Amino acid sequence: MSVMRSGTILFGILAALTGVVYPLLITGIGKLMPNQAGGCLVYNQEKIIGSELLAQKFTTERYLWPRPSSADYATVASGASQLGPLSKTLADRRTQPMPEILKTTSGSGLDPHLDRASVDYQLPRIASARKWNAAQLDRAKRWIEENYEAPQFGFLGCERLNVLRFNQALEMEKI
Amino acid sequence: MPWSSPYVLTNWIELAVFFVLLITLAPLLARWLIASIKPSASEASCFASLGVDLKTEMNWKQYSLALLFIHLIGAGFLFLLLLTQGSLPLNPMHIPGMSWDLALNTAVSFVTNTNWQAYSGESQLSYLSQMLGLGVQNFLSAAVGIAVAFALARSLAREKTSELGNFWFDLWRVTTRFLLPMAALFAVFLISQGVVQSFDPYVTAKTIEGTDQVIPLGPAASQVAIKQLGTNGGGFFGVNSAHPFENPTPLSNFLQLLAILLIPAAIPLVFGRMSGHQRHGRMLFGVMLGLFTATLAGSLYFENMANMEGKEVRFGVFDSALWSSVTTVASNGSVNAMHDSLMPGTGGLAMFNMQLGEIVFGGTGSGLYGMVLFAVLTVFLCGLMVGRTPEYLGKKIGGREVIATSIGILLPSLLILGFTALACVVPAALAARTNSGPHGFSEILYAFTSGAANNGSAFGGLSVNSVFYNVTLSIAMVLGRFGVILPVLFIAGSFAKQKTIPPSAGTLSSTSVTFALLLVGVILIVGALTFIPALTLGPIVEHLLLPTGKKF
Repeated sequence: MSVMRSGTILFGILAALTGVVYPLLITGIGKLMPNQAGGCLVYNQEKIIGSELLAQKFTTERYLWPRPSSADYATVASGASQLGPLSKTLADRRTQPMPEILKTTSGSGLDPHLDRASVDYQLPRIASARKWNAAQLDRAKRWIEENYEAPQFGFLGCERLNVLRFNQALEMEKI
Repeated sequence: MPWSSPYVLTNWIELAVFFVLLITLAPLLARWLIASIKPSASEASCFASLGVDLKTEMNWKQYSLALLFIHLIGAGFLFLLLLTQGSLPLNPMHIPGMSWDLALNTAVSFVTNTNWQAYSGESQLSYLSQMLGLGVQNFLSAAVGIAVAFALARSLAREKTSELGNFWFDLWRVTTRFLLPMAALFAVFLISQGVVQSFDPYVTAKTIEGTDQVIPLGPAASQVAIKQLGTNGGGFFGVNSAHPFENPTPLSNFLQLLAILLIPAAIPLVFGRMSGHQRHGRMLFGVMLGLFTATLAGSLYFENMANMEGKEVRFGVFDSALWSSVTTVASNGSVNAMHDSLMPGTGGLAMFNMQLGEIVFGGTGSGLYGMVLFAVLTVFLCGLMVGRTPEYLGKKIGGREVIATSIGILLPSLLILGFTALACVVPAALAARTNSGPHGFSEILYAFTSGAANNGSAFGGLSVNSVFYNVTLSIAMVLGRFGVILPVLFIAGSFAKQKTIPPSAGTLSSTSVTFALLLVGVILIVGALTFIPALTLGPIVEHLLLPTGKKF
């Protein structure tokens, strides 16, 4: 039947174009932006320590902690709490005296950023764990101030600090 | 709770820029789309030598048959690919084949342009399945919707014929001259923002604290581009556009938002020009824009709380609320925040947007033809009131057209309410809820709404990868798709055969403000009468419980 013949051949051609040629072409162009196409990996002396875009678990007091993750920072597969506004679990979590960002889990479970309130909230803990003097604390504050990402073009999205970048700076004693 | 508004001035600037871009770009895209279906004799003869007939015009039955065949072969191919991906190439992480019910659900979901995710891409799909399976259907299911809108437009421009165009030609041209170039441009932009595009295996990083972190990769940018442009919405990763690798920056977020609405917004203008009723096309665009503005205002109002559960810091509350509205008025269904954790009013409006039938912009093409069904219904109701034979753009609306229209409008509603009711009495279906109390009911209602409306977003707390949900949702998606497409093509067939009646003094003007208001009225009344009772048990009661502090 001509429908089956036409349909099968056309499907084959379209599948090859959209399912093979197109992704390969885009991957080829992506080679011009290897950092972005490859997951914005962060290196420490040539060792991969993570991705700038994915939160990772920090538990020691010496580091800045990202937002809590309902999937415990799993990347395969990522996940969220899916708790609704009438959830008792969520309401209990909200009673803690912390900024909203630190009491709630993100949509991806891998939110790499923090807002100003949740950085300020954690800074005293890091300072005391690292036994910083006033000058060192000032230096950290200056670094943070310089590394806040402003809303793009001034009007897109929210101001934020990349947690891994900060911790890497701590590690490399740039702070 | 003492919540202050998280909205700032710059949010409103973003919204203004968004609307300006949407309104200025839609006509440009409409022109591009129309230009992309200019026939070429050399192309037709080239395809003829391959055995594909791009030239012979089809009647509504032939057009439907060709359309059904492309779905069938697409679904079959995808189903087999998902079942056998474990032994196929481009699977560096050795991901096994899917279970039959999950493969069925995923195949149906992608050929019907629903793109419901009962799976998580990073753990359950090989690179090959993503690109050659889901990616292909992202293009084709979007192109099919546009093709049906073309057939409908042609039927109104023609008279005394059975010819509605050639489905193969429409599918070929929309995919290759319109969707592919646009997706390619957008994909390159997305890489520049940090969306991954790589065939390398997942990377294992050693974190500063000494633990291992697996960093998933894959050809994501090429997929995400068409996922948004084609109102597909199925994520490369499980958490969709909340995932930093799928939507890394506020700019990628903004342009993805725009990409979701651009093509559905251009289609009514295309329909107007192709059918020879340009002002009517603009009126339909206006009705869609008006309804979208109203429902968006509601979403922004209800979400005006410091509620960051399920949201990303880089987007914040405003962009998340905006996205929840955009993705549900369009039949896209991608998310940048978890809808399950939205405020009850916002989540309820997301459901209501879909329950209106995905006609407020809606899917690529499907939004328009769904809206035309409502326009036909409006003409019919007005005809009843004044006792005249109703006409739509010069075509008589008879009993058979009204029956077809009613099926197209009522069938998705029946699926939503029927399956929700069924799930509420099946213990295994109830056990799938994460939230209890009224929000648990909302999770179920949302799932079948999303499936039957071919949207694909979810209240993700419902664990839907089970035989019950995989099968019932597959049925809802199939009937929700063809239960609308086939009546539309039937009506198109009947329109094309009729002689076009010139407008007379007694004709209800299809471009007037009165008609637009009547149309809005019919849409809202049908939607409200059908769904307010069900919504009352879910999001409405949740909203009323908020101030009482009752928790579940």
